[in-house]
Amino acid sequence: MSVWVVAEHRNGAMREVTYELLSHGAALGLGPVTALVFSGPGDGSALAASLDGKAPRTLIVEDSSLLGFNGTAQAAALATLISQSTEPPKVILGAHSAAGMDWAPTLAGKLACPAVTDVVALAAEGASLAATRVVYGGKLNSKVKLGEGPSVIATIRPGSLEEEPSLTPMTTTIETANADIPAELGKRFVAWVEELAGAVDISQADILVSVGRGIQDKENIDVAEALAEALGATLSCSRPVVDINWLPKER
Amino acid sequence: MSFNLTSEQIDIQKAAREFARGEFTKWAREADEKEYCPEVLYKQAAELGFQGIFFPEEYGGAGLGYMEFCLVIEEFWRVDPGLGQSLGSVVFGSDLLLTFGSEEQKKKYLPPITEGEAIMAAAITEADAGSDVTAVATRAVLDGDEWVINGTKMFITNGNLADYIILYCLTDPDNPSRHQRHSCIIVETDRPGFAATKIHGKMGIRASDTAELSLTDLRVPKENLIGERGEGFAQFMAFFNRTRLHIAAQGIGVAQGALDMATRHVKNRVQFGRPLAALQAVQFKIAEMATRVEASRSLLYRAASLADQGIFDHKLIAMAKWTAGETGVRVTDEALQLHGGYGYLAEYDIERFYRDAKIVELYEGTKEVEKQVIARVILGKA
Amino acid sequence: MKIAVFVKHVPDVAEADLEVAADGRTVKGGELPFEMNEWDRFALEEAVLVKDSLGGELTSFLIGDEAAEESLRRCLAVGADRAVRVWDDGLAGANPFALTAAMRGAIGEDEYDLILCGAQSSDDGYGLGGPLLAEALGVPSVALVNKMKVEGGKVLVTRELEGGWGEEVEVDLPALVTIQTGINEPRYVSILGIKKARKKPIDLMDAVSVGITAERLATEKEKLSLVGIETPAVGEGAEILEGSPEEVAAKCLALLKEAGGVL
Ligand SMILES: Cc1cc2nc3c(=O)[nH]c(=O)nc-3n(C[C@H](O)[C@H](O)[C@H](O)COP(=O)(O)OP(=O)(O)OC[C@H]3O[C@@H](n4cnc5c(N)ncnc54)[C@H](O)[C@@H]3O)c2cc1C
Repeated sequence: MSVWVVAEHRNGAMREVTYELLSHGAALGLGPVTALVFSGPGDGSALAASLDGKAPRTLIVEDSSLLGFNGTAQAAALATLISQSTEPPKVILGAHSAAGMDWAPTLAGKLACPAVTDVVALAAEGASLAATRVVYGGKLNSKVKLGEGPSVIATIRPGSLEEEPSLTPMTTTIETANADIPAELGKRFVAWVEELAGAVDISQADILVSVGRGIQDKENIDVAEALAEALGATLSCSRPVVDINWLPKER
Repeated sequence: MSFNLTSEQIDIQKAAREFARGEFTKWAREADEKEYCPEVLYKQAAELGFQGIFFPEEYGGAGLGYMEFCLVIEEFWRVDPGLGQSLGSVVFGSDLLLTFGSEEQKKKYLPPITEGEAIMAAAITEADAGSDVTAVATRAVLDGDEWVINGTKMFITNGNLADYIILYCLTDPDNPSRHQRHSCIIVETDRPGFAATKIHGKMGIRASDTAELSLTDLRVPKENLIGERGEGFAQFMAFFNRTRLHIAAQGIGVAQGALDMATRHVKNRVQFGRPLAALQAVQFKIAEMATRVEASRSLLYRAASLADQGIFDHKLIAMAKWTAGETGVRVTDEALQLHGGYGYLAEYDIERFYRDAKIVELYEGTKEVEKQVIARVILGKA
Repeated sequence: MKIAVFVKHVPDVAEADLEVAADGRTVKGGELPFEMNEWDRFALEEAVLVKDSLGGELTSFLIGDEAAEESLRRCLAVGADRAVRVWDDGLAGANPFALTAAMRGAIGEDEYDLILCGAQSSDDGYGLGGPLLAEALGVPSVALVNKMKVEGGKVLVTRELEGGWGEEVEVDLPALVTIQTGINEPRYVSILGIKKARKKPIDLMDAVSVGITAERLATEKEKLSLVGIETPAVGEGAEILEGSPEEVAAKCLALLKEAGGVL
């Protein structure tokens, strides 16, 4: 048995959530963890280097269709790798992120396999996995069980690790693989766009002061701002607050 | 007999709710403070088809009924009574035209309202003629092909905004019957001799325009008379049978809005280590408020759906209007009480709703007048 | 352009205190109002905008019981030309895999140039349906789109990423796009729209007509099954702090310091 972790990176930098995923993967106790780095030609080794010592094995897949981020290409590559491997991974872990929301369901469709998204806790149970999720806008927790696979997919909500990712230092073997991604996927990455100058990545903040619908009035946001400042925290908000333009979207 | 709204009625109710929640909330406090309703709301409401919902399609309406109009008014008032009254009163007076107007009059005056191009008003009340409408003294005298009108009117909703007003005038002072001395005449407000003065400082529904009118040698063509001369009193009694339905919907709307606020507040406010909602005295209060709202609503829906079948039950309508008004006043009072001191601050919407609710017990017949109507049907002219 | 939009009718829980029913698996329904899923409202608006600018026919789909038809009527009221509702008792409480099978079956042999879905639903928030459906149809999909333009057989989209970043992607039609909230301003339903909707057809399909057998349903359900739901542990009752923004912040800071942990 083994666990595959899909590394998440953007614009040449590994995203923090990848380390969390490696930590989650190791904790499952379902065999060794392999980190998979999907990248454009020539970008893989630098990205893999940032994972050095954090997983026993890193697999680099480079292809021009993987430049930037292309969930369809990544799902196609994963499907091929899984079908080629003598022992397919029991679990494929990814982040519940903008990227994860694109490639993971696509892969689930390709493999016709069980999948669960936006998981806050994950554990091996019997021949498969049990996951805890937050549903109904955070008002309830739900527990779900995945089918047996052979492989199953789970995406994990960033920041849901109880502690800092702690990975015992280890030697990493770096391998490369060719995934024979079809030339015509019908979907092409065009560019990263830095939509909002001075944006804040709230998934990376230590302390958040978060504003939701309950704030009721735009003026009340001042309270949250003052508190955030006093705490040295980052101000964030839920989507409805953005949608009525009370706070900019990068929050 | 069905007690369920049709799917179309549910959709209309939701459409009104969404529009009001989406747009009124932005303006409600400012509108109350500054005594106006923003132009853009009039425009949006008309574009979405809320004006003239009960007009037949040939006059630009949606061809629906009083029931649907009541649902809209209820939802509007639930979000903000002042803006609800501003938008709901755009058609005020049209019922009379629909019922008694000539084909030409209906074709001329009704479609612009549905298109958001005209606002109406109906003027009966005068300084010395309130509950007693037979005391109306504004005089209209036929001079050749024209009516010449002189007099003043008090408390006229939309007096400053209206493009045309249905004016209740004394035309036949010598008729032996007090009920056959008055007539209804359509007055375009751009005619010389028309003047309106805004009344400032209302307690509630401050977004809604109210004016004093003065009419000085104002001339309108003879054809502006609605129906028969001397029929004004009868026409307005029939008119009130329709408009009181809308007014009842206002009372239910303001009460429901206050109940919504109270429910939210008692769940969140913690005293003695528990939310207020955990106290039985509070639970009972909420139960009573909710029951009052539902009871008033049932009465109105029954009266309105009968009206849509052509049965205008005078007594039932007066009952619906009176109860709804009382429900509005009581429920806003209790809701404010549940807010404690916070409810006394303008920062909390309940403060405004409390002020807004009272009007439903006053206009379109005070609650005493409604009771008179009810009693007269039951007891006859004792 | 042949456009399809999928919408879901979900409980509106923004104001509700949710209670778990005795079975430990469902939410006590009772007084909960149901609404069209928020994401789907944006998807619907986008579909209407595309239809308005490029012409064509818009079909709206919903998997749900009769009460859920309200959301389909909304589709018709704001501009969809026809509506399809799929229901079978076996679909009650179904997971995204079973729902997707029904969605796929509802499309049948019809070919759509553009299929729009909300990026996720506010009830269970899986965000699986769209891309799963795309795979079942064999068309490319792109998720979490907050800007899109259909032009020359392609759709150029911007996907919303974390931290204020976006990604531009080009997808060939036919394609499936899942929509993020805020992409547009969903219009209000008009009275005329409601009246027009009454004259438009709502086709009903059951499990048989969408071609799902009981075995298929069982296989899909097996992939992801609910064990139970529970109310998250909550602390003591909330305390509402009053005062100016600075005062409230100061009080809050003091409380947090006292509670320890974060600072
Ligand atoms: C905001 C607002 C908007 C209005 N809009 C319009 C409008 O658009 N058009 C219009 O024509 N009018 C309008 N009115 C006027 C409204 O309809 C009258 O105020 C109402 O009919 C009562 O008349 P009144 O104020 O003269 O009170 P009065 O008739 O003087 O009554 C005073 C009190 O005595 C009671 N009373 C009177 N007679 C009796 C009786 N026989 N038996 C028992 N009790 C009695 C009343 O119930 C009331 O409690 C509006 C009023 C307000 C405040």
